[in-house]
Amino acid sequence: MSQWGFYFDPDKCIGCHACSQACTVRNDIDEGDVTWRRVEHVGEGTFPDYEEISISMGCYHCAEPECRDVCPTHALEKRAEDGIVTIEQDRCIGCNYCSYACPYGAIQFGEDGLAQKCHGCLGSGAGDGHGSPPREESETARETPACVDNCVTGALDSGPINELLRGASTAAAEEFRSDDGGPAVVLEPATGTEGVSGDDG
Amino acid sequence: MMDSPDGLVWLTQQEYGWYIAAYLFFSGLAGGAYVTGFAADVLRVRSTDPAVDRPMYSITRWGTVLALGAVGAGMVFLLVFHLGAPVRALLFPILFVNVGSWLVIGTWIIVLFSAVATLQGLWVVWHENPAGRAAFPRVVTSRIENRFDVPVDSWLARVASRTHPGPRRRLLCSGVGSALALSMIAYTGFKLGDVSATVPLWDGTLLPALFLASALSIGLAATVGVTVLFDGVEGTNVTAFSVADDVVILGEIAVLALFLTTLASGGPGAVSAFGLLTEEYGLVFWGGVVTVGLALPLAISVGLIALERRVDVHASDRLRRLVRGTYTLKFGFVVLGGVALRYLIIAAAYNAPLST
Repeated sequence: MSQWGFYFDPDKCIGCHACSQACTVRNDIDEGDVTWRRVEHVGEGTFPDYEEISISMGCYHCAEPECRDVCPTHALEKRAEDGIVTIEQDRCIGCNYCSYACPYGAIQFGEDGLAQKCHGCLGSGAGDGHGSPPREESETARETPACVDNCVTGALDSGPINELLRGASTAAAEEFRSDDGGPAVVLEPATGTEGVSGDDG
Repeated sequence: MMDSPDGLVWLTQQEYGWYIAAYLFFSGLAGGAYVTGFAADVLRVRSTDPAVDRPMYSITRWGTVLALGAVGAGMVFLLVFHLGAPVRALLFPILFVNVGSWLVIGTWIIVLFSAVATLQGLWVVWHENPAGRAAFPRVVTSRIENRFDVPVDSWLARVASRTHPGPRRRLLCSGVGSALALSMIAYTGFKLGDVSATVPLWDGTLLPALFLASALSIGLAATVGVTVLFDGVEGTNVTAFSVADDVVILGEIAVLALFLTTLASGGPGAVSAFGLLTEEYGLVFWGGVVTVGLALPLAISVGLIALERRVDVHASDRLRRLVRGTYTLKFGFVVLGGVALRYLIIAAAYNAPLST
């Protein structure tokens, strides 16, 4: 299996919410507070020594997903093909247990009371993504996820983890490799607000 | 939640509502009430005093009836208010395939407990002609039978008579039911504790112990409380049961103190949960859980024991009514404290923050 995942560089993120908006539109999410991808603004310190970074967050398709382990019906599946975690909504009983197991608040519940979350834009459009062909084989699923597609600074990327690691800094790659069962996200360390104005943004 | 920017990502999502707190309360009450009923059953069988027989059996009936009512109420809150697809959940024998999930383990414990408690209910209410108000379900079925000419009471009595395994085996069966009741109480703690890495409030070790102590306490209080309220204090060994409840309450205080100490000395999420419990929800915690649920019942108990040592409380109707009312009040406080505790366990359950 070639684990598929995300790459994120907080120094490049300007907190514009284009990623979360694009996700909502492409996946046809129209249910109040439900957001498969969201941007958290994290502050540190007090004025004048205050810094704030923005972090784009969604499901990180963990190597050993806690949400899958607690689900009574195995509605959550870690796909063998690409490591993407999908929810088969036809098996979900809406018990919310998975949302408490997820450390990232990725799993959401809409008006139908069933679990839903990011599936890496498998199938390219509304739906739970379950049963979609592997990203490498499907014409539609090979499209870049909406969040990555619409990131204006290149802070977000997605693809096979090995490819993402090749383009990442040594620190980010080491951090990723230190957690075998952790999230499939290559996260660049934040160096502060100064990094946002870099010329590659 | 966050007083000053600390460089952490605080996730404040909450999915469980008050109905899960209600479910936790009722399943705890059901387990505790059943175990109390079983304890009274054992005391009755072991006692050689014939005067004990009727009041103890009354406690057993109340415990069983309360357990069945509470487990039913818990299911209503779970299925009707909480689950997104309750009908699908009813297909659990087919659909619940992840046997390692506490939700699946808990479901089977509840199903088995409900089956044993239903049989016990059938035997202690519809076998023979039980006296006392705990047998009110029998009054209901008799009225239905008389008014609508539906032989529901005769039918249930016949089933109870045919299935009754004899006193000893019924007690043995009730012992199995008690083990299931204790498992049902503990499972709710283990289920929440299993995700304590995400929700620091739900300590995987201490929460099951806290739920166990609290459930036994509220179950005992509710069962003996309704027995005293409806059947009086005579022969019920209410003082002994009350002291037993006090011992459980003291155990609960010890676990709660350890629980708070662990939270206060934990990571940012645990410290935040401690702050939520003791400050933001301080009124419910200090007022509801600590004062009403733990301190007042102990204080009332001390007062009642002192009174019972000084005067014969059965000497006059007035004193008897006073003692009966005070015990009912004490047990009522314990139950209210149990409600407050479960409300807080859900309301203050926030995700641990993420570092950036």
